[in-house]
Amino acid sequence: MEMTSSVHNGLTVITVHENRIDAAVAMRFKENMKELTEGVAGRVIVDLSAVIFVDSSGLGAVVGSMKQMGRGRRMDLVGLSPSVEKVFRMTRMDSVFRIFGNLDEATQEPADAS
Amino acid sequence: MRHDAGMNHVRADPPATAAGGVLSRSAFRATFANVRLAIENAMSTLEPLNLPEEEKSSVEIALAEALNNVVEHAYPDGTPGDVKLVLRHGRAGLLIEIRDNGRPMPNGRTPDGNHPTESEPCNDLPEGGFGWFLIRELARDLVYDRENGENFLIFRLAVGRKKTPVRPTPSL
Repeated sequence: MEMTSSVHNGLTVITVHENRIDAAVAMRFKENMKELTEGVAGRVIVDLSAVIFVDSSGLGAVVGSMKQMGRGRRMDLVGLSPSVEKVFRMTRMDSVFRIFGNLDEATQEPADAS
Repeated sequence: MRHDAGMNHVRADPPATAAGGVLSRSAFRATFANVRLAIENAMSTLEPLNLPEEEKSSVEIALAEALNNVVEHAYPDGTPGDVKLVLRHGRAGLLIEIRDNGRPMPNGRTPDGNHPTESEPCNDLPEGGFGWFLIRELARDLVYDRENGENFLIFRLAVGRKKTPVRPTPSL
C-alpha cells in the first residue's frame, strides 16, 4: 500500500498511490496513516485522487486515521471519485470530513480554519 | 410486485425473465484478496450490460460488502473456507447469490448494520458496521437462509433493467 507525504503551501498532504482502499488493505492504510501523521502539527490533507473504490472497511480506516490523530487535529480529503463520494455520502461521512475537489482548493483554505 | 402479470408484453429478449439468466458462476477461497479479484471479475462480466457508472458503483459496493462479510464473519480469523458467487441478470435487474459453509448469521438473520447519524462527536465516530447498512440501502429482496450447514444469501440490485417494450397502440 503505497502512500507518500509531501508539503503544499505549508500543509502536509498525504497521497494514496493505490486505486482501492478495501478490506484487503484497510489495516495497512491506517498503520501507514499513523506513521505519516505522527509528529505532524495541524491540518493534514489526504489526496484520494488515485482511489476509485472504497468499501466500508476502507471507510472505517479513513475514519480511524482521523481519530488516531487525536482531538483538535483536522484531516481533510481531496479528489473523491464518484464511487468513493457515494460511500461517504450514504454513510453521512461527507459531513464529518471537509472534502475538496482538488489540492489547490484544499490548500487555499486558511491553515487555521475549522 | 408482479403488477405487469397478465399484460401482453412483447418479449424481444427470450432469456430476460424476472429471475434472469446466469451471467457467471465462481467459487474461491475466502480471503479479502480473493474478494477483490472476484469483484474485478464480476465487474468485467457486467461490461456487456453497459451499466451507467452510478449503477456500476452500486453493484461494486454491495458485492464488496456482502463478500467481505463472509470472509470476516462466516469464516472469522482466517478460518479456511469457500465462497460461491452466482450473478444473474434479468428484467428485474441483477441477482446476486452468495453461498458459504461458514458460521451462520447471528440469530439466523442478516444484521441491520449501523445507521449513520448526523454530526457525531468526532471520537465516537463508528469505524465499522456500515456494511449491512450499505447493502440494505442498495439491495432489494434480500433473502438469507441456511440449510445443511450452508449460508445462502441472495439479493437484487435494480440495475441494468430491461425496459418492458411498449405495446403498439391499436391505431398503428
